[in-house]
Amino acid sequence: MPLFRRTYHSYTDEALMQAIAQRHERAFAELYERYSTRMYRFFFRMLQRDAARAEDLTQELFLKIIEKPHLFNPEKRFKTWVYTLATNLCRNEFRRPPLPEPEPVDIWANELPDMPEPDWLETRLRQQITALPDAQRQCFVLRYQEGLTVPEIAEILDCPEGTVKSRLHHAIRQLRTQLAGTYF
Amino acid sequence: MLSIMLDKIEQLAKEKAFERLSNAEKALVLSMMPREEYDQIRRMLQTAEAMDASVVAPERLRARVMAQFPKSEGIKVNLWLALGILAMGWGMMWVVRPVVMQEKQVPVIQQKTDTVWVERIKWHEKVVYKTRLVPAPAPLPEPIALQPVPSNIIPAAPLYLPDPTTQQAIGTSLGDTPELMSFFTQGDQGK
Repeated sequence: MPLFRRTYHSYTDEALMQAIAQRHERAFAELYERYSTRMYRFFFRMLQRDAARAEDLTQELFLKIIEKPHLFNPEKRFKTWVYTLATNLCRNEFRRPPLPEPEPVDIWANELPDMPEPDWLETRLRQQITALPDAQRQCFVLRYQEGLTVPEIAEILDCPEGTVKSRLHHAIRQLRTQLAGTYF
Repeated sequence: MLSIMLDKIEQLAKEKAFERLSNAEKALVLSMMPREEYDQIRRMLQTAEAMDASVVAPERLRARVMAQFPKSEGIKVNLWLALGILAMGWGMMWVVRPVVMQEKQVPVIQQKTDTVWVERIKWHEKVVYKTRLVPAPAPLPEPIALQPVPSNIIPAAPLYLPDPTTQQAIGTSLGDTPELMSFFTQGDQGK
């Protein structure tokens, strides 16, 4: 019966959160459509491509939104708030004992290709991003993979913008150093 | 200052290839690093951005999350159902509507009673003075001088002297002489 149903497509994220606080299920469905894949991908990247843990944390994130929508301040941006929740969930996950390391990929086992294949570069880059310190990896993922701005990242991580820029710069320099000497 | 320039260069590397930079931007980049390094950073950032782009949230996750959303406690009214019930009720009113009889209008006389104000007469005591004409009594005759009477003798003074003007005879009854009657009865009026 879509004729008289209210459509939430034109609602902002913040307006959707207000509707969710009033227990509008379809508002939550709309918010889930907008952010589910994005947040799942963020967890997937932050948790070393662990799909099961990414799925669990995504579910936990949306359950928090369901259970405590009143914690969201409508005067602030929802995008920043939801990334703050996700980052805190990742921090809690980092405190857990680490999972056994996956089998290392021996990229030198075979003869190097004449030109760096995109898949090869991606694999090598992923390994290096995983090897970054947590603080630098958070900044790098949020900035260059999730597309957030430096002020947004500073708000999410609750630190000065200069700190975020410094972490980004160190992350890039470390990644470039690690990838240098190959066909990069 | 250095961090600001590096931040600017990283932003440029994310957005533009070296060939598309303006002369000022090229000068800025080349002042900080060789072109190869700029190209490497750009390639690395592009690869990182496109990494895991095909990853999507599993469909089963949606079902699990949506199942956790609390159902609204209020009664959900299906609009079509409500409209149907209203239409049915309206139709039933037509079916079972009461037969309207032609009523004859009969004039009704109504008696109305107005308020009546009763004027009560307030009575006052009234003193009435009445006058009565009484005939003046005739002058008494001169007393007859009598002989001195000895003190030891009680003279037989007459208790009643007849009025010489009246022709009453001795031995007349009291009923025939009202003046005499009043003489005897005047002592009772003072009581």
